[in-house]
Amino acid sequence: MEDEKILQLYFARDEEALRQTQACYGGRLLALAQNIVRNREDAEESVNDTYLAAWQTIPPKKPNFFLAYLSKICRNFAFGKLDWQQAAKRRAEVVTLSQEMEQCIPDKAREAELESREIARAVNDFLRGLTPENRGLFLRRYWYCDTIEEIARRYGMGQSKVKMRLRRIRQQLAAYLEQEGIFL
Amino acid sequence: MTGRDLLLGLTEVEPEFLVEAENRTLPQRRIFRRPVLAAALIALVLILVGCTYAVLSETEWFEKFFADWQKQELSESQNAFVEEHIKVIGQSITKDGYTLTVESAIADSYNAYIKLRLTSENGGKLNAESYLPDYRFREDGTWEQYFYALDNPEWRYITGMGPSEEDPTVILLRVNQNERQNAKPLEEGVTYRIHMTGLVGYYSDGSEEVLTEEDFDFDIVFDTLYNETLEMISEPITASFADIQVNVTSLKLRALSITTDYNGRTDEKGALCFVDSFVVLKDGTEVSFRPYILGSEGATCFLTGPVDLEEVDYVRLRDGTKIPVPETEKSPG
Repeated sequence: MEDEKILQLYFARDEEALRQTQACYGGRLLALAQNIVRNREDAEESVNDTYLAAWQTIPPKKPNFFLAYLSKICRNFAFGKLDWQQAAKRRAEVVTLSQEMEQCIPDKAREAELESREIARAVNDFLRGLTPENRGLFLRRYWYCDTIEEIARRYGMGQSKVKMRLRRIRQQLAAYLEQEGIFL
Repeated sequence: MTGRDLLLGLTEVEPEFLVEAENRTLPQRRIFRRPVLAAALIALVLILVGCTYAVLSETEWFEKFFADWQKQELSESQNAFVEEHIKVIGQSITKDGYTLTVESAIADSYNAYIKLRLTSENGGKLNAESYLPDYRFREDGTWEQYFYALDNPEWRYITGMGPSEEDPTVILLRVNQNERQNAKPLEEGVTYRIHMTGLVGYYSDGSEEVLTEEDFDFDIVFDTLYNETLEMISEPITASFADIQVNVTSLKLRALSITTDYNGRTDEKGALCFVDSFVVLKDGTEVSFRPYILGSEGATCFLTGPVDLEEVDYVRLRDGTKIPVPETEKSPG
């Protein structure tokens, strides 16, 4: 079913909206949540919480990009359920990702406290300047938390090339944040 | 702010970006697995007339150059390094019927390879063994420089590598910064000038021919420079060869070069401990290196193939000493 029709069901308070949401996007949302929490139970809870949040917020919200809207909610729930200490013990992928992101933070910014909105604004400006391919690589890795292998397969590249490209993009992000003085 | 904060803060990126990333599908099956295979087939035909390098892209040229030099095919990570860090330039200058084109370059922060191609506009044959630009003495006794930063004209070591029988029109310059003399590293965004003081052909029979006395000046900027460094020595080690022994206090590994510091000798023979030495990658690829700029307290070495520092397993010296990658962060520059 098309997004427009699913949203009409939400507006009509027809619970078929939830079934259609699950049918169309349940798999992708579960994959996203599992990439983060690496735990089926927590991933399923995150997805169920996402359906509930969608039901509670639509209407009045009418997202232009329905899957992106759902995915953001799901991502927030998944990270909320993540036990970072346990993740560190398991050497989970998400810990590696946060370590890679650490490389992008200018020294002067490490003591700064910033709201997510400020971070997102800075990153959006940076992403706008990338090629679509590089933007996609960055987001698949750090937004969707895909593994290098998954990204390599999606983009038809070797894993070494993916790693090297991502490293270069992180360096560019670090240089961008430093140059823009965003955290000063 | 931490890496975790940044990772979480990404949630509010523009939804259009997510749609774009979500909709990325696998590339369609092509007749050729990689476009280069089409060029490779053409190259296969042209091998019959001795033009193996001629139809290669800049990336493929350097991949072949390094593969020939390290005497084995590049590994996946090495190919990825070349693809991601090649700088395609394409600047041409014609003087007296000869055109020099700076075609491409690849660099780490202390070593660069700059590929130039020479063509004759008036049908002159180019079959010299070398077209190394000639050093020109100034009246004050200094030499005109080939390669320098416009805002900081300090001296750099330059050697020419080419042309070769396979590619008779290529001149490959190797630029090396002597870190041990506190030379400034190559930097992204800085404009560097290649200054060729005329062109002279040096032939196998010992003769020379001045092709042009006109100078060629090219300005290039490295914006794909690999600027990471890996210090391999956490505690001093001993390296030896025959009756020569040195105490190695530093071995900085970069993508194309190595700088090593040692003590224990008053002559330059300590560098012999680093001949026939290798950087061994995790996939088993062995990349040899050899000293190039020698001193009594250290040496600068060049690698015969590019190295992604994250793929390094260990360094093996001539005497068999294995130096594993220490548990330290790589640093820029």
